[in-house]
Amino acid sequence: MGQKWGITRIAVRSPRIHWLFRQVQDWQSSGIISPYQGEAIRNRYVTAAFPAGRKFISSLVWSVLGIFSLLLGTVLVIANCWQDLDQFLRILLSLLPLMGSWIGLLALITFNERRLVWRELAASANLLATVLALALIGQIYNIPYSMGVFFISIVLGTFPVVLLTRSISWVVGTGILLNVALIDSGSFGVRCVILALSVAMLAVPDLVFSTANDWTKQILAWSTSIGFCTTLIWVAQGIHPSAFLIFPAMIWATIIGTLAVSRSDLAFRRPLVGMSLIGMLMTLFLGTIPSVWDEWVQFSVVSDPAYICVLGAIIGVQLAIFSVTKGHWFRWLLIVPGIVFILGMVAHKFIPSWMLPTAVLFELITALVAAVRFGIVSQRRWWIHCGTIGFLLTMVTQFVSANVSLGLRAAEFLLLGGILVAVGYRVNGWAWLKK
Amino acid sequence: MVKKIRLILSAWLDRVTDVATPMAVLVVAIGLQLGVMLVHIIESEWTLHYGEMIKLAIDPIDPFDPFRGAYFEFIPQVFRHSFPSRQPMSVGDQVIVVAVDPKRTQWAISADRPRSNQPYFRLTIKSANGNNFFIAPPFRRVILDDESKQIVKEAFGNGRSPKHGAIYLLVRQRGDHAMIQGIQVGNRVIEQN
Repeated sequence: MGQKWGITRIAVRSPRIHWLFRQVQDWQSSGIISPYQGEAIRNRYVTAAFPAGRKFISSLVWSVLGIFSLLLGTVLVIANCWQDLDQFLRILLSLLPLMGSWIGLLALITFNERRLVWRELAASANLLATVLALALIGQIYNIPYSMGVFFISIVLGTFPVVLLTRSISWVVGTGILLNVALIDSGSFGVRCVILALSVAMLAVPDLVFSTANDWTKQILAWSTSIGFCTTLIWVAQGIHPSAFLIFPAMIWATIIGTLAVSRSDLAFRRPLVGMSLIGMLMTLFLGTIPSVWDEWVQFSVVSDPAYICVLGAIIGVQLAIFSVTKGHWFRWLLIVPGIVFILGMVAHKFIPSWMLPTAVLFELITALVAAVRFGIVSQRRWWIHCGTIGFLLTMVTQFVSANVSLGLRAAEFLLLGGILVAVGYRVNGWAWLKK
Repeated sequence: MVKKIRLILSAWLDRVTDVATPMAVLVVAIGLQLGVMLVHIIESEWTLHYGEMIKLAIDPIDPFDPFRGAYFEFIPQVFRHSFPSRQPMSVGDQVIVVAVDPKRTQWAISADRPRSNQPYFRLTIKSANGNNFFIAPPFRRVILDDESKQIVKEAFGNGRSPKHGAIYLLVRQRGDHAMIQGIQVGNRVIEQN
C-alpha cells in the first residue's frame, strides 16, 4: 500500500487494475463520472509488486527447462560422434551419467541436504540417467527390449532412491513410463483410444471422494479407478497375458505414489487428477506426431464434410482461450482433446495431413502455458510441475519428429538451453538453488 | 486393522528415510542399478563369445532416428515373410522358429521344443492377418558409420536394384538370446559387436 494526497493506496494485481482503469475511462467518456473523480479513483489504486515467491517459481521453471535443453544438446553432440568411438568407451559413456547421479545422491546423504530442489534434482537425475544407460546399452548390443522389461528394470532399479529423496518427479516420471508401456502393449491406435478413456476415468473416483483426505479413502479411490481402468484394458486386449504385467505394475505405482511421498505435499492430495492429467497430456503429445494420426484414423468409421472439422477446431481454440482467461483450464483440458480428436477422426480425409498435428500442438502449448501461468499466479507447485514436464515432453516430441542433422539440432538445443537459463537468472538470480 | 497397517507402514517408511541407514539404501540402489546394467551387458557378451554363428540373408530399409539421423535397418528375409499357422495366434504370442535345412536357409515354426543342437529363435508375433502372422526380429536396428553405409549401399545397388542375398547378417545365437555379430558384404565383414 502507498500514500498519495493523504489517501491510502490499495495494491491490486496487474490484470485487475488494467480492467479497472479501462472501466474508469469508459465511465468518464459516458459522463457517469467527472475527469476529476476518474483521476481520484485512479490514484486510489496501485499495481501490486510481483511477489518474491512467484519470482522464485518462475526462475525455477525457466532454469530447469534450460538445463534440460543443455543436457539434450550435450547428448546430441556425443551422439554426433558416437559411431566412431570404441565399444568399451561407449559402454563407459553410457554409465557415466548414472555414476554422476550416484555421486549426487551420496552428496545429498553426506551433507544431510533436505531442500526440495536438491532432492528433486538428485532423484530425477538418477531416473533419467538409468533410462539413458539402459537405452544406450540396448543400442550398443542391439537388444530389443520389450517395454515391460524396460519399465520394470527402471522402476525396480530406482525404487530405493524415492525412499531416500521422497521425490515427486520420480513418481511423475514412472507414471509417464507406465503410460508409454501401456501404449506399447499392443495395437497402437486402439491402445491410445483406450488409454485416453481410461485415464479420463481415473479422475472420476477422485471427484467422488473429493473430500478424501484420509489414507483409507485415498486407497479406496485409487483401487476403484485402477480396477476400472484395468478392466477396460483387459477388455481391449482380449485378456492378453501382458495385461497381467500391467496390472501389478499399476498397483505398485499406486502404492508408491500414495505412500512414499509426504502426505502433507499438495501435489499428491489429488493423485488421481494428476494421473489423469498425465494420461491426457501423453495422448496430446502423441497427437502432435503426424504418423500417429495415420494409425488413429484407421479407426474412423464415419465421414462428414470438412466444415465439421473447422467447427471443431474453432470450438477447441475458443475453449482453450477461455480456459486460459478464466483459469478453468483443467476442466476444459479434459473436454477439448476429446472434441478435437473425435472431429479429427471424422474430418481427416478432407484436410491436409499437417493440420491435425499442428492443431493438437497448438492446443497442447496453450494448455501448458495455462498450467504454468496458473501455477505461478496461484503459487501451486503441482500445476507448475505438470506444465514444466509438459514442456519438456513437447520439446522431446518435436525433437523426435524433426528431420534435421544431429549437429544442427545439438546447436539448437544448446542455444535454447542457454537462453532459458539466462531468462531464469534474469528473473531471480540463482535463488532457486538455495531453497 | 487398516489403522494398524498404516502405522506399521509409516513407521517403516520413517525408519528408512529419516533414522536408519540412508547410506545402506543408497548402496542397495546402486547395486540394483548396476546389477540391471551388468545383467544386460554380461548376457550379451556371453552370447557373442559362446553363441553359435548363424548367417541370415537380409534386406535393408532406411528409417530415421532422432539421435542417429538416417540409418539402415536390416531385417533378415526370413523374418519379413508371413508364417502360416494351423492354430489361431494373436499379437504378443511367442513362437519358436527353427532351421529346417542344414544350410539354415529355410526356417519354420516349430510346435515342439527345439532339439539341444538345433538353432532356434524365440520370437514375438508383431501382427496377424487371418492364419498368417508376422514376427518381430530378435534384435534391434543396426547403425553404420558413413564408410560402412557406402559399402552396403553399393552392395544393394544404391537402392535401385536390390541384390537379395548379397548381404548377410551374422548372428550369434545361444538359448533364447540372439546377438548381431556383424554384417557380411561379399568377403568383407563389418563388425558390430
